[in-house]
This record gives sequence, C-alpha cells and structure tokens, in this order.
Amino acid sequence: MASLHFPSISTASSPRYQALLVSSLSKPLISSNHFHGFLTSRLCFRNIGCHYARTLKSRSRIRAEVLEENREPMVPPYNVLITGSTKGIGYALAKEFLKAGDNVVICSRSAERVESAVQNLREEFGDHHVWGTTCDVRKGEDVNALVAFGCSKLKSIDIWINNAGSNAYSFKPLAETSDEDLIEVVTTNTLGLMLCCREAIKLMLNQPRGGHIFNIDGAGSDGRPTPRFAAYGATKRSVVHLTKSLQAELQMQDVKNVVVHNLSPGMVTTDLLMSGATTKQAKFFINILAEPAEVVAEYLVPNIRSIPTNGSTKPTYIRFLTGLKAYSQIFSRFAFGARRNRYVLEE
Amino acid sequence: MDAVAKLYLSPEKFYCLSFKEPFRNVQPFLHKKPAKFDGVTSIMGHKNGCRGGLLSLQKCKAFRSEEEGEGKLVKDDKKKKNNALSSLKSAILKLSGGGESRKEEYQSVVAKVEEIFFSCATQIGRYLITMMSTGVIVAVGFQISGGDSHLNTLIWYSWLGGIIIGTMIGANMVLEEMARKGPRNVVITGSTRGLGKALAREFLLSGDRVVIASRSPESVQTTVRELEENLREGILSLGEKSKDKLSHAKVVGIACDVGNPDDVEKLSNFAVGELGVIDIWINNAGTNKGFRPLLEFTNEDIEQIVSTNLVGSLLCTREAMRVMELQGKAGHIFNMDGAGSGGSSTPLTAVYGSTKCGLRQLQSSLLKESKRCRVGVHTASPGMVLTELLLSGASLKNKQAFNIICELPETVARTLVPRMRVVKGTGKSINYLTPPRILLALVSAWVRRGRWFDDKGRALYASEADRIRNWAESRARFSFTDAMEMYTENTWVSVFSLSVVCAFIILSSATPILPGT
Repeated sequence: MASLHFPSISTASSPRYQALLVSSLSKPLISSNHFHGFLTSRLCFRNIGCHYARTLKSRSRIRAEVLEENREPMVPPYNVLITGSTKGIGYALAKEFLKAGDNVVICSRSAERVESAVQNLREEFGDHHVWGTTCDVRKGEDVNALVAFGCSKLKSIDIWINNAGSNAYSFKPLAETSDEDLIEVVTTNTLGLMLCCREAIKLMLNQPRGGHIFNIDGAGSDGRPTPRFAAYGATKRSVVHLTKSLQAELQMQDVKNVVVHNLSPGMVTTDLLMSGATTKQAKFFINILAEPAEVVAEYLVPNIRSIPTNGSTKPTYIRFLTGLKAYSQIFSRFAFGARRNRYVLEE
Repeated sequence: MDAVAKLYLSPEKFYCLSFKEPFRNVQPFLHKKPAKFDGVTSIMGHKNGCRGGLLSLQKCKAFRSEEEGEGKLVKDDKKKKNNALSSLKSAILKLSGGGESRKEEYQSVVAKVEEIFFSCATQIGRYLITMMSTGVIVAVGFQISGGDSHLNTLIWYSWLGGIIIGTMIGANMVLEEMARKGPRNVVITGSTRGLGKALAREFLLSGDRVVIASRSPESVQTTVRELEENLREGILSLGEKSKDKLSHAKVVGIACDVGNPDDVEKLSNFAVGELGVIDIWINNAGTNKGFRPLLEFTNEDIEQIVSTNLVGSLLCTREAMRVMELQGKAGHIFNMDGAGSGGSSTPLTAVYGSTKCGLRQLQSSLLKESKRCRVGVHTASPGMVLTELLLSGASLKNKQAFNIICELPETVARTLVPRMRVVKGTGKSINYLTPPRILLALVSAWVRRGRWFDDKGRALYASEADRIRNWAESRARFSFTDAMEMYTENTWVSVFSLSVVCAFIILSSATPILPGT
C-alpha cells in the first residue's frame, strides 16, 4: 500500500505561509502547554521504567553478553524488508535498494500485485535479489509468516521499513467517514505498525548483525491538524510517538544493536495523495511540494544505507522535505511562479 | 379576616422583591472582591480613559452575546413569580375559606415572608458594604490627588466605570450560570470502573441524566444499580432545596464495545431514545494492558488497546458529531488525554502512549473540520488517577511516586465535572493537573509521602464505598481552589491587567508630586 506522504506542512491551513512560519516558531510554546502531559509521563513512566529497567537490564545484559561475542558488523549488501511495497513509495524504495545491490523482500495485501511487482523487479535485477509474499500487516499471523518468509530467503534482515499505510482513499470530514474506512485506516497504520515493530525487534534482537527499523511518518506527524483526513493524521502522529517510546524502551533495556528510526518522505505523488487533490489549496501545495516517488527514494535510500555503513546506533529522523526546502519552494512559487500546474491543473 | 387583609399586601411586596432576585446573585460577586476590583477599575479609568473604554467595550461584546439569554431569563423569572404569586393567592383563598388549618398556614406564610425580608436585608447590607468599601477607595484616591479638582472628577468617573464594569462581569457570570442551569444529558463510555464511574456519579449528583456504557452487560447493570443507590442517598442527604435539583437525575446503561461500529451506533440510538438530546459525550473508554515492553504484548493485547483507544474514540466522536449535528441543541465531545498526549515518549506503554498521542492530533484536525458546526470538540486531562489502569503492574517505587502526584478518581471528577458542564465554544482543554496544582504537589511532596501507599506499597486509602460516604458529607464544603478555578479566565486576565495598569498609574502619578513638594 502506498501511503499518503504529506510534508510536515499541513495542506489545508487557511492563513498561509506566515501562519506556517509562526506555527513552526511557536512550537516550543505549544509543548510547554502540555506540561502536565510531560510531567505525567516523566514522573510515572520514568519511575515504572526504573523498575522495569532493572529487571530487563539483567535479562538483556545476558543477551547482550552473548551477542557481544558473535556480534558482526553490518556490511553491504543489506537485506531489506519493506511492507506495503508493491506500489508508490514502497516500490520506489525497493527499486532503489536493488539498484544499490541489496536484497529486498517486498510484500502487500494482494497476491497479484506482489506477483507482478516481483516479476518486474526480477526482470531488471535478476532472480536472486528480490522476493515477495502476501502479508496483511493488520494480522498477527501474517506478520509472523512474513518474518518466517524473510528469514527463509535471507540470512538476516538488516533494514525493516514499515511503509504500509492507508487512508482508505477517502478525503472527507470525520463525520462523514464510514466505519470500515476508519477501522481500515487505524488498523493498518497503527495496529499493523505496532505488530510489525514488535516482530522486527524480536527478530533483530537475536541477529548477530542487529538491525534498523524505519517507520514512515506522514501528514500530521508533527501534531498539526489534518482536516479531511483526521483519522490518518491521528495515526501518523501516533507513529512518531511509538518510535520515540520504542527508542526509550530499547535504551532502557541496554539494547545497542537494534535501532528504531523515523523516515519522512514528505509529499509523494502517489495515488493516495492525488486522490485528495480536489480542493484548490491541496492542488496548490501538491504542485509546490510534492515529488515523484522515484525522486524521493533516490534521496532516502543512500541516507538509509549510510546508517548501517557508518555503524551508527543513534536513532535518526531522516527527512526528505525539510522545513527550509519547503519554504524556499513556496517562496520561489510566489516570486517566480515556479512549479505552477506541475502535476495538477490549478484554476 | 384580619389576617387576610394583611396577607393581601404581601404578594405585591413579594413580587417586587423577588423580581430583584437576579440581583441577589450579582451581589455575591461584587461582595467577594468589592474593594479590590472597584478600586482597580476606578483608578485605572482615570488616566487611561482610552484604554478603559476599550476594555469595557470588550466586556460589552461578551455581554451582548448573553443578552438574548437575559431576555428569556427575565421572562422565565416573571413566569415563575407569577406561579408563585398565584399559589400564594390560592393559599390565601383557601385560608379564608378553610377554617381549621388556618393558623398553621398563616404561620408558614409568615415564615416565608420573613425569609424574603431577611434575604432582602442581606442584599441591602451587601450593597451597603460594597458601596462603603468603594467609598473608602475613592476617598484614598482623593487623598492621593491632593484636592486637584481635575483629578477628582477623573476619580469619580473611573469609580463609575469600575462599578459598571464590575456589574457587567458579575451579571455576565450569573447569567451564564443561570442560562446553563438545568440537567445535561451525558454519555460516558467505559464508565463502569475508575474515573468513568466517578465522572458518572458526579454528573448524576449534579442533577444530570447519564448514560453509562461498558463492554460487559453485567457490570453495566451493577453500576447502574450502584449509581442509583448513590443518587438516592444523595437526595436523602441533601436539603429540601437541592432535592429539586436532583429531581431530573437518572442513570441508564447499555453494553457497548467502542471498537465495534454496530455497538457504537446502538449506544447512540439508545442514548437518543432515553435522553432525547445529548449535550455532553465523553470518550473515556481506554485500556492499557499493563506496563511492559512492546515485545511482551501479544497480538490480542495490541489489537484491543488500539481498537479501544483509537478506533473507539474515532467511532464515538463521529457518531456523537452525527447525533449532535442533527439535534437542535449544541453538544460537546470530550476526549480523554493520557500519558503521551504531550508527545513525550512513554516506554513500557508504547502502544497506549502512541494512541493517546494520536488522539491529540485528531483533536486539532477535528477543530479545523468542525469550525462551522455547533459541535464542540474538547479534551479533558485527568492527570494521574488511582485506577486499575495505572495500578496494574505498578511497583513499590512507582507507588511512592504516586503518593505525590496521584489523586482519587472522585477528587478528579469533582474538579472536571463542573467545568465540563459549563464548557462552551470548542477546542477547550480541561485539565486536572494545572500548573498551580503541580506546583502544590511538588512543594508538598514531603508531606504527601504516605498519602495513598505506605512504605510497603499497601493501599492506605479507603475503599470506594467508604470514600463515597465521606464524599457525600464533604460535598457541600467550599473549596477555595475550586472556586478560583471556576472563575472564567477572562475575569482573571482583566483583573490582572487592571491591577498592572493601576500600579503603573500610582507609580507615575506619585513621582511628579515629589519634585513639586
């Protein structure tokens, strides 16, 4: 499933760029408003954390010692697993990894799409680099099967990209969204991600090479509103938070070789984004900020690969569309009329 | 016959006295802070006329929106008084006709008249005190001005302005309270345990009609029975006056799994069928499944947490918005915050934290979406509450931390409910752990060490039933922090800014005098 990757800038905010600037400036202020939230988690969960950390540390220390002896450095070619990777950004990422000489496992809900995607990729890169299976990330057994499949084809999984995401292809106010759509969005984006993260961490803890997990964020992950796709935004916000919590958990357990990262592709001209190009504002922003999936993947993949290459164990947040970039593109649109009608016709 | 003649006089008096009743409510406010407030406004107005005008204009605007309500109110009031009048008349007619019970009724009527006279006298007394205290301030102002006639007139004007502004703010508050009186219809999900139950009880004891919902039908039934029992006790323990308030209160329940769309629809249909209109919908259902790393959560655990916290809130919010859009009256939806809402990491409750964080983002999206409709979308943050959600899997060390910052669900509900009842607009967040409370908790951390748990982690607090009994007794007690919190923010802002302006004027007017003398 291709997901809808908006940038960190909300497309439908009505007071425009100054407001954008202001809101980005006022961010620290906003977080200070959530003082109680901060306090709650610090006081409560840090404390609970202490308790658990102790029990877990002893447990994981044993594991770490075992691993210390046969820990291997991660060397290319990497073994990459990408969920929801038969089209859109997932497919582009898979292609780019293959170009770099890595081995890739792709998966998706639909068997035909997996079949055709694997065929296309094999034609280009040979039979022994790419494998595919069906997997519905919302189902625990499917995720387990995916892990088993990945392990059977590859010795280990070094990079796991949680790309599967959905917006149910609908852009409507929440009040008009159907039950099925809401459940699909939440289960795919949140439940699926959590199951995948858990399995990935479980798998990587026992691998001598460790591993890196990348969670793909989307519109709303910075906490800004996402009207017309409120459920999607809420789930993507929870992605970022889950990543943070997992980083803290792993740190607490003294795990060094499994790292969870965030990956932000910005706005990508996939089906999902284009299906929302119905309002003037959305069209405007899509033209200015969106990029084709190939371009995004070309930028992201070297960045992702550089992490294991450098042997870094620090969590990162790789962004394609940085704030500076977004503002400069908006500026050039206003100054020179650049990128007008680039993908969709504006009135 | 003698008595009759006497009594015929009183209705008229009664009428005009009781018509003053809206005033009675204005006075307490004026009375509470008369000296400070009027003083502030009076001096404030006197050099900064322009600024004062602006401020009062703002107030006027706020007031205007209430004016419609005022008209209605007065009418209602008249009607009521007419009723009272006619009842009094009929009582008197009976009195003249009936023979035996004449004396007793005469006594009771006299008692009534006495009560009215007494309340009237208190009002006048309060008014006098207010006037005198403002008089003192005006006199001080004259002293400072040192007989300058120009300044004196300014002081008079500003005194008048202060009185007007004060009256307006007071009237505004009173009208707001009056217009919003009456039972609310409340739906609370996940309300058979913990905070949800405490909220339901608090709403019920405020005289509201409550629908409770939970997954298991048995626990819904037992909770309904328990709450009804609480309500009965509440009615018994309260006086004659408050009985009227609780006369509309009722509680009904239905089993509902918020993650299931059919159940949610059933719940909303049931609520509409039972209550007619839904004023407040609280998405309280949430689950945590203990504290452990993500690796140790099973598929079912994760599924259940996500479907309760995120899917449930989404479905319920949507359903509530649908219902509230269709009904004639505006409604308010509350989503409960939890750990992680602020965006900080929540290790060991990663799933719970990320769902709650998502909800916060949902809130901001909904705000944008529902700008034009009458549905208010709010968040309520209970802080840390001693419920099973928190205590399941808490260690000794945690419990010691809980001593400092945790509160009993009833305490939290008591703070949240009154503010939920009067909420207006959209996008408000109602927090229990406000910065002053946190500060208080941290300052008094030493004292609070053995509050809920002793050194060995045993619970020291009373069981729920005991707590409720104690609560019923202390309900009527006045709490300073509650009262402070209930003041609208605007009032505090204006009082603060006025006092700053006042201080500035005093300082600036004091300096030129010195070189002159």
